[in-house]
Amino acid sequence: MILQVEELTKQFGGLVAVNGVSFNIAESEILGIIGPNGAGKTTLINLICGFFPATSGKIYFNGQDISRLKANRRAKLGIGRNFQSSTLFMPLPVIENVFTGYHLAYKTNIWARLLRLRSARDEENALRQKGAELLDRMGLGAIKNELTMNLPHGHQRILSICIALASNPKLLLLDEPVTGMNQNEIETMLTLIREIRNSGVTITMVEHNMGAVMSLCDRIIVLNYGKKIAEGLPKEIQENEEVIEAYLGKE
Amino acid sequence: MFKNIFSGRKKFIYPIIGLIIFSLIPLFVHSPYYLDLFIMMIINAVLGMMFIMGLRVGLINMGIIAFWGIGAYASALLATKYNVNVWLCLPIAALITGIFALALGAILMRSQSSGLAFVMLSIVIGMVFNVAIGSLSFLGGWNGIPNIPPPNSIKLPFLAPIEFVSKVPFFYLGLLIFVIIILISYAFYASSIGRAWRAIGMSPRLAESTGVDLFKYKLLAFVLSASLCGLIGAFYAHYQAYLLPDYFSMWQNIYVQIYVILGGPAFAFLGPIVGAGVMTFFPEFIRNAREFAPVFTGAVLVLLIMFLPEGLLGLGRYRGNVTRGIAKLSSILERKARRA
Amino acid sequence: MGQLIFDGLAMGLVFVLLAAGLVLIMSTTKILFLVYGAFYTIGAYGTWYSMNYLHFPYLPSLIIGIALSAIISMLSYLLIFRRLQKAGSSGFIATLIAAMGLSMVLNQGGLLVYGTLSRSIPTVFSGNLYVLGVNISIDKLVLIILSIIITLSLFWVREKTFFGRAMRAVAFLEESASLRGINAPLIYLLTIGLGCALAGFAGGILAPSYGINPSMGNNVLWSVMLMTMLGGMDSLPGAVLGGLVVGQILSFGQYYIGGSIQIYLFLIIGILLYFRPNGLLGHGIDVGI
Repeated sequence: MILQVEELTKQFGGLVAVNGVSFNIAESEILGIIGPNGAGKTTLINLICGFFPATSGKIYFNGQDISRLKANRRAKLGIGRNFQSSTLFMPLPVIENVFTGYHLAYKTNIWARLLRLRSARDEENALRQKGAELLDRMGLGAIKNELTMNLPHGHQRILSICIALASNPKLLLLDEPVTGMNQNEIETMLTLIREIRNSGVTITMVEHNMGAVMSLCDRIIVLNYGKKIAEGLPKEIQENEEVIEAYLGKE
Repeated sequence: MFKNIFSGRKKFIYPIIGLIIFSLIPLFVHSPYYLDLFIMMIINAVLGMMFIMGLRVGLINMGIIAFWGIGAYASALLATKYNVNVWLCLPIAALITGIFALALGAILMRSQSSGLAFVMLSIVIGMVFNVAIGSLSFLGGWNGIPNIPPPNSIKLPFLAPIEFVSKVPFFYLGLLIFVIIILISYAFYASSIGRAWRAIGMSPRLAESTGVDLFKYKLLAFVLSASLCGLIGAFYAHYQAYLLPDYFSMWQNIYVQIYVILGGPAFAFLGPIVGAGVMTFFPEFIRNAREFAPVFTGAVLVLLIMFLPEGLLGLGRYRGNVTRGIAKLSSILERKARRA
Repeated sequence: MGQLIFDGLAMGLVFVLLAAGLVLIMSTTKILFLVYGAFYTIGAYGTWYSMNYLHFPYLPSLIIGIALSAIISMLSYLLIFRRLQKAGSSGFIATLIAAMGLSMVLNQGGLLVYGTLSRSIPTVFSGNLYVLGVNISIDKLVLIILSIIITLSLFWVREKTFFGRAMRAVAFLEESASLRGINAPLIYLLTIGLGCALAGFAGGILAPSYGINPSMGNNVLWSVMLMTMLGGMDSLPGAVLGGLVVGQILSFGQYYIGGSIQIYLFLIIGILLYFRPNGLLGHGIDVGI
């Protein structure tokens, strides 16, 4: 159990976005979170990575209670996430974006870094090199010096995942990785995601694209109005009455 | 150590040339009045740079003058009331300012407080400081602090000791502190800390997700900029030799922001230098209409922010357009000449 | 003691008007309106010029002063602030800088226009009442009554009229207000006009009692800022509370402790802001920084 979520609830004023949700995530699995619009999926992701505190409930990461930890502490423990593509360092080149992901990787002493001693400069070069390699593996190697704002949408999405991967997460949260992409891009992304999982990272994915979810995920959770209404294998979910009801009802 | 910081890159040629030229000024300018202007320009430039340091991480410090003032008053009091050697007063004053900033910053930068809350509280800090130095007798009250001693003379082997009597030694001391402050700032900006700051400024959420502790880094930017303000404030105290509460009014904070906007907020060092330079010397060019200066300044400020928000240095963006425009114009003229 | 309360009340109520104007402007337009003090000054001088050069009696002159403040402020919005109002920190800083620059122009320009001498306006209502040992000067009494009437009117406008609700709608979320057919720029324009009219009124109505000098706006600006921070930048009741509280504290404090009352006041407010960054009654303004 890499992640355990217990009775997680988030209230914004009068609105209960997430209502008593509980589930577990097993190591190395790909878990999908689906549900109609407004079901609370994005809020749930934000709660797990720590951008705001929950109203009640607990989250355990590898057995440790992280409910009170801030987002950067959770990142340090190994939770990473991507963002919708507008959250990138737009004026910077691609390689610099990835490089920021290595923030936690510095081992040299802070004074060495300030004085720019040889050890710090070497480390910086090594991390930049790692970033370049990561970009290569993810297919963005050719454009590493391009300005991020000039990148097509699909590449920006992949870059966002690269930044998350730079910090070596054990759990990677993906927020709508293929929404709005064409079939080719989706295929590329799905392959990448599988590769990431094969390298030992547990993945949790919020997505609307049913095809992607069904083909990729080992297990799926369904949310509706902030509550978990179903959990199981893709085939089970597809045949689940309540789930079908929830989606049809929303039309 | 210097070689490490610069690692021999070519782009440092320009600042070094600039520095050499600037340090030759006292050889050509003898009037104490103009030397004073240059010294004030240095001080104002530093304040602008420190404002930008906070701005880079999303902190709009409307009370920055208070930290400049804490350094000035701390140094003045140490020298006048406790007879501490002035050379010790300067770093101690910077340290005291840093401690104040640390205490205040821990309060100002709670994770729930928004940027607006920081702006508000920084206004309060500025106001409290201004009123405190004007009312509290141990801070001098509205008489201020007179008779602040200059730095003790430096005794060099084989040469005459350097006395801090005329403006010239102060000029070089100010320049030295200026360079030290720039070096320290640059060291931070170029390091992983500076990159974290940049990340926070561009996208705090993304920065957080890569493990950047927002509170820690914002606090660091705040404390560092405050301490360096305190350092230049201490220099100011011993240069000016007396402190009056009037120098530390709320509107002084706005002047600092003018230096930044005028030069261009995107340029961490050159911007404030340009901005402070223009603001310090501009009133000289319209000496006759001296009383119009603030009106003019205000109008320029409004026009700037409306039409030239990137500052004077932001015009550099159009350099390519200008040269292309000139090339096009000359080719048109050429064709006309041929036909004629 | 009663005397102090009465005088504090008079000052406090005018502060309330000033704070209310500022709160309306800032909560609706999201601009850190540092130029507000200048309109206080303009109102006072407008009244004075009207009385001394046009030889109008006090009341019409006061109206002229108010109109002057309102018109100049609305022009500033149309020419300057309107194009700078953008979401996020760049918009916030831009409007802040513009407000500062405009303030310099109006205050210092005012200095050139008005000269540096202090002016005065003869008090309109002379006479005093003696109630329970308190010397109640009639003009201060009129001031108090007028202020209360205007303050109540402001509440009425905000709650009951379309304009008031439009102000609140735009303050909350400009986009959805526009979608409902509210002309946001017009609301901003009118709100600024209203707020600065209040400032102008305060300047004109206090002129007989407290005199007129070119730096009056400046002096008053930061105190009013503080009051609105205390009460909550988006709260009209907060402005009332802030104005009254600060007015009373300054009145009593000036008497018992002298000038240093301000430090303690600021410190207390600072501490309060730490615990409640949105002020006592406010809910916070989202300016996107």
